[in-house]
Amino acid sequence: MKVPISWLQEFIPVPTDGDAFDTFCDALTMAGLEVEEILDGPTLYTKVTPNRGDWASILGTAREAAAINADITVKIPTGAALTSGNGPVSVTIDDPDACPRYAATVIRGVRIAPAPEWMQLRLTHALGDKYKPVNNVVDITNYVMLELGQPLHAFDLATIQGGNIIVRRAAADEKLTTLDGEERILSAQPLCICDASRPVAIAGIMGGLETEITAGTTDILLESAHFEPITIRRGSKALGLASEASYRFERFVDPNLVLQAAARAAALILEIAGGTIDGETTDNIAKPHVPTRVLARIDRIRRILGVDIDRDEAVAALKRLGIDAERSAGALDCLVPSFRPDIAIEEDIAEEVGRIALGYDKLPETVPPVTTGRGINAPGAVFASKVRTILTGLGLQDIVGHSLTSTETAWTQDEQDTLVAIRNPMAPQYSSLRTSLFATLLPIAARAVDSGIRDFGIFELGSVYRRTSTGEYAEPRQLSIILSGSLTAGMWGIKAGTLPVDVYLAKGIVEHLVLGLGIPNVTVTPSAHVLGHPYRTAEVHSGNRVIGYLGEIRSGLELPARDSDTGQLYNAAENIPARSVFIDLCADSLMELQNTGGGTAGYKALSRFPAMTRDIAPIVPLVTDFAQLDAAIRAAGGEYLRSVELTDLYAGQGIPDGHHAPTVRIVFQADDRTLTSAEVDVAMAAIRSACEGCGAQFR
Amino acid sequence: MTQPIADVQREALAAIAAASTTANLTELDTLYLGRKAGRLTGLMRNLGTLPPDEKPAFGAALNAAKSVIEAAIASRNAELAAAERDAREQRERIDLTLPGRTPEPGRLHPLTQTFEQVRSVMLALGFSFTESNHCEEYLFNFDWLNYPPEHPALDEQMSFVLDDDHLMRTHTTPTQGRVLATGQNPPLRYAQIGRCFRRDAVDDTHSHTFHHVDGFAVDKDLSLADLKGVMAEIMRGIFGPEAIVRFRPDYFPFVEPGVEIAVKWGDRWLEVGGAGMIHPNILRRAGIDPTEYSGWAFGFGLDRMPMVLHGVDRLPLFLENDLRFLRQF
Repeated sequence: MKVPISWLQEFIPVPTDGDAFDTFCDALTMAGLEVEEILDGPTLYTKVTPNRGDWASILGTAREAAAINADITVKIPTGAALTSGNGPVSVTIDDPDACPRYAATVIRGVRIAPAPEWMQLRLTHALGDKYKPVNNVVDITNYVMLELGQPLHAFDLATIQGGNIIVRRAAADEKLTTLDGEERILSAQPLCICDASRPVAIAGIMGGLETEITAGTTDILLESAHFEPITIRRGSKALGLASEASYRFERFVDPNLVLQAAARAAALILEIAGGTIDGETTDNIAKPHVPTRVLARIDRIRRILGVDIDRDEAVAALKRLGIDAERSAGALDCLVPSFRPDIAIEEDIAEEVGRIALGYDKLPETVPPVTTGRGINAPGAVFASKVRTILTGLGLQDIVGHSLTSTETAWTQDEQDTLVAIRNPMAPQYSSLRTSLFATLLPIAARAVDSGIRDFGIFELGSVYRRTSTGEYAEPRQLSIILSGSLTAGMWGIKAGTLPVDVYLAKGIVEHLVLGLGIPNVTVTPSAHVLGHPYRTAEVHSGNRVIGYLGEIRSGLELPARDSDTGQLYNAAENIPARSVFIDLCADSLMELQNTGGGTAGYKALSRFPAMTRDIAPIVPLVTDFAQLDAAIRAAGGEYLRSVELTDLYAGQGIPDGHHAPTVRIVFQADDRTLTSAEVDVAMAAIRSACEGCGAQFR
Repeated sequence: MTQPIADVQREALAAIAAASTTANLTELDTLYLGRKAGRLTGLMRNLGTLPPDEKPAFGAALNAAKSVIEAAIASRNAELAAAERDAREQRERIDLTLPGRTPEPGRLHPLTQTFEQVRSVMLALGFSFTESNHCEEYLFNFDWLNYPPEHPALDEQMSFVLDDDHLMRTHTTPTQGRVLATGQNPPLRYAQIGRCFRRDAVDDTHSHTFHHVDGFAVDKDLSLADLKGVMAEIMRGIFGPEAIVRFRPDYFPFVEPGVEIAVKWGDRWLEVGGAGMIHPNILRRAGIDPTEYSGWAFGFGLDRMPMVLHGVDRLPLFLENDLRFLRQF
């Protein structure tokens, strides 16, 4: 709410000098009505919380300041002397729940002209760009709304047929052209203000064009009514039409303002536009307002706040708030004023006492004992932390990427079938939830390349989103990685590209990861993946269960995505360097398979006797997989074989076409004695012949 | 009779003093003390030709000379070896201004770092952590939290809608209803860190995707002062021991009284989140008697925190994941 200070000064004294003014604003802020900014005028820009519709007025602001400050009393501007009774226009209310009260006042003989400059200036400060000067009568209704918080409406009496106002729900086919010139179909059945033959306004939201005040208007019908919040909010949402009036009615307007606001507006109209009040004001109270009583126990207030409260100070503060509090056997019997619909229970009274009588700056800090035992972390968080420790230890950068992405990033049929779309997206690039972490990782990799970083390893452990065939939402966690260039590229003296990332690095990362997580029996077999080179991609298994994929990113991929700023379609794979590799693991499976038992990882006693190491370099046909050779060596190596490790793989000069020469380091060791060369020689002879059985030759 | 010994000793000592390298000394050691052809060793052979009464004196003189020469060699060797090591090490001088050399280290994202810091502070305060989905039911995002139907408070949380019953959660507060709906008996102390979504345009301080932590407790006699004490502990755990917590009245449908939490860090007040006493309607819905138990709840944003701590001027940088940015943390 924009509160011009000169206007507020008509209600309460407001200090003008710097320090005192700052103190005044701080006090309001600290008591709950935040002064966010000082605008031109000068004007206070305050933040009205959804429960305090009464703050959306000069009067409400003044009342709050007076509640904080015992020295301030609020002076309310006087209105015209209106008499409740039966006026020239009758009022029928069909729906007393939606419209508990409606007052109609007739003023005849007004002269329509622009509103005076001082009023236009205040309205400009209070409404900003939303203020469009109309004429003196309409501007006065807006002025009084801002001043007291009660929305008003003025009709040209000459256009009201039958001398009767009926407040009723719209019929199915009724239409009304509102003041903004739009024809509205009232099929949503909002509450309407009607004359004898048709709707003339949408209650609490906007008036009709045909009955508006024009230059030729001489007699007016002034409406001041109370409408129920949900009725107005529903109508406003259904019509897609909101106004300053609906904003206030949604937040509850003090029902006791109805006559007060009409009187204030009538006084201003008479003073500024002339005319005379015709007879009595028809004040139809279809459903009287019942004031709320709250019995608040002093002891309970103290326990809620956690601090001792002086009862007399509490009573004084409540009285300054307009709450009629009387002491009643250890409790306060509180009669809540009609402008405070937010106060309904003991806790509400505790809040008023806490913020006004005590002040939250005086609330002590106490730390309650922990009665729930130690804090236990979420298993998913424990797992994530373990994974991040392993992967950052391997030199990979942790990524936290967007969940919202474009529909186009569902690159596979399965992803398209299970895509979760946003029903009300802000932009096409944020129109659905990611089905793959690569929807975020590939653009991040491309951006790195654009910025000159070509060597990197990035990973994200995060949710992807799927809608299951039964309509449920699933949020499996994935662990996806992209490796590009060389991870040793930043080391001077090592020729760039000496150790480029490749599928074996990816495989090594997976091996370290599963070792760290305690997942046994992880193997890879050739497979396919949307990103993968068809002959350099593998499935990762644990036992028979597929837990993910790794491979080289295929060149020439077309993976549509949308630019996060512009929304333009582009190919997310386009700028990914050649020979980059990927890992795509199901994190939920890893978490399920991980060893969290603590003591069961297994330990083998260390031998105290020396190990014997032998290298062999057989020439092997390319068609023989290393796994086959490895298995043959292990099978033939005998009981003292301890490890078989590939240390080099050579192809080129001296090696026939279609062959290569792995160097394999074989280690033997006994637990109870030092092995003899002769024993190892026997084992090595068996290994050589096993290798030959796989098609290997020895030089 | 001992004159030859004295001569050899004098000559040896002169040669040792004149030696300029440890290699020279090794030669001199062989020359004078060598087992086969050493000069002093050679004199030893004369021992057999001496009359018996002269043998002891001659032998003693020989041993004395041997000791003197050995000591002189050892002492000179120590000097020369030190000088030679100095010279060698001087030749091994390296250019320490050359850049350091390691592979690019792996780093945690600054948001991950913030989450882990907040998590460890809150675990130490006895909060147990839960996790739940980003695609949330209206039931837990609003209904369980005492949002009145069709209330203007809903306008503050413009949400991404999935279907009539689901939305992208607008806060991590659904953890409250999700825990309470399980029917667990108090005392309770739970928290959740996670991602939230609101239909908010992206600018320097806003994004449609952000992160919250929510915590709540239900026990006998919990008060607003307890909440302030716990918030102060948490904020000091994050911002350091000088941090001061301020409460200001604010409104959230799920708490009464409700407060806004601000932290004084340096000379600025930072508004970090909202908190308050759990609304009795929520306790009642969970089957907990609000006259016997009370509770408090709080939630605060985790994206602006690293912005402030690291002086980052644009919030969207965190989720953009530009490696030039991430490599600074």
